Amino acid sequence: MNLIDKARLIKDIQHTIKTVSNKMLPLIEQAKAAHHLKEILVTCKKNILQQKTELRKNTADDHQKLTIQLLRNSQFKASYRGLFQEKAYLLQSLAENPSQGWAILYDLSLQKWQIWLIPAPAKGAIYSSWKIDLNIAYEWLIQQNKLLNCFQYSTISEQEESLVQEAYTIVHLFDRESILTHLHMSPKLYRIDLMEGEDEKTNYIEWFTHTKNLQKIQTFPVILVEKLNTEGHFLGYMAILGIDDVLNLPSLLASYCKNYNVKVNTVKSVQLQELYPHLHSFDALFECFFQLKPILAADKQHEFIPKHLLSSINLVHISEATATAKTPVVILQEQQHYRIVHGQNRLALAKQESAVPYILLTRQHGMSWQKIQQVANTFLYPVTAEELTNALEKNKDVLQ
Amino acid sequence: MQKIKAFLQENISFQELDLDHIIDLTKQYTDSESPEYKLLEIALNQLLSKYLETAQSYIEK
Repeated sequence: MNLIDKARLIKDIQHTIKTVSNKMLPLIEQAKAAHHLKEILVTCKKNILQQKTELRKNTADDHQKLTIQLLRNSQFKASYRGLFQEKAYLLQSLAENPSQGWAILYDLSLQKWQIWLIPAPAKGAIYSSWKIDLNIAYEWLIQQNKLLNCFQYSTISEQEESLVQEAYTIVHLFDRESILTHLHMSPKLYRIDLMEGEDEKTNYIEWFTHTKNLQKIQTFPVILVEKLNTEGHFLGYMAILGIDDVLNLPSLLASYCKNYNVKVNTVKSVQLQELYPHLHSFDALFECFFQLKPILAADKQHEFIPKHLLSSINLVHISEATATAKTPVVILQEQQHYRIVHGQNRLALAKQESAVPYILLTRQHGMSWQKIQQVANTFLYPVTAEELTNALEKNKDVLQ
Repeated sequence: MQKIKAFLQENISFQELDLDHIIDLTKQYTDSESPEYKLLEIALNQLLSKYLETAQSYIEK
């Protein structure tokens, strides 16, 4: 917005405030002015939010670009362990391989850099003070190396050296520059950080690869996994590339879960070109995942649906038993809508969750609200989701 | 411009500024590299913020 428009907008707000507060004017004039004021506030808030998002996106882009520029010229790139925004993840990465190594911590709110260093095998980490410039923090690393001779590899075994040298690679994936970071676990797994801002694409899907071979990455099916925290709350999807044999998957996932203190839920497989058009949003990712068949046999577990896709219109009255994080929401699919049949108690627990586990009923199998109500009425006590769906299954073979 | 400076130095309140005069100033100083333009830009951002806060308080009444 240019200065003249901004000044006129301020004048408009000033005039409208005077009208709203002038009690001598007819009520209709005051109401119109109040409505106009609300419109101005909504528009301004939207613009401010957009500017903040742009700023955040640029900052996220910038700090990754600065890191890549630094690493291109770094003599210590072989021992680099990654760029982190969370200290806990940085410490985890350093602890996974206690040989020499260093990592970068960037604080998005402070917009400052810190470098962490393990100067010798099995020694504790040391770190620089917060620096406004990455190059100044890197100067600290150079000084420490001179003082402590950190990066002399002669004392490291061949196996450790190969691990260290694999720590970081830049590849071109999906036409974008990406950083592969070795997660130092067995079977082998690399995290892929795509060079792009924190858009929705990266919020709900994390990329990994089992191999650095680009041909394998781009031709082998993608393994899609629902990732949960230890409380069973949905964290997002993991997309694992380069898996040539699904028999490796259980041990790879078990190792990842142990290292990162998470759980995995349903595991499916999809071709990369089939997944690619669905990456733009959480909803599209869910629709893609929904269409696929699980590839690993597991205990009875429920897949997750984005909470905002659930339609609150409910035409049955069911007395629900208390819910836990594992309780699924029972939903009926009607055309493009997912209507909640049973799950008010579960949703009441899900204030901080983006997705909830579900059991899906479909109209195609002859299910109707009347039938659901009839079956629900047979229960004389608050009913659980499983009891209700089992009873519906006995009455009609309708469940997926 | 003196009043703009006084506002930025917190010597006068935002209600004391004449908005018609400020609109005239924005028409006069259009070179975004000039110090007058930059002063106006800072002042207008602060003014907008103050008026939006006031508007919000009226809506919440």
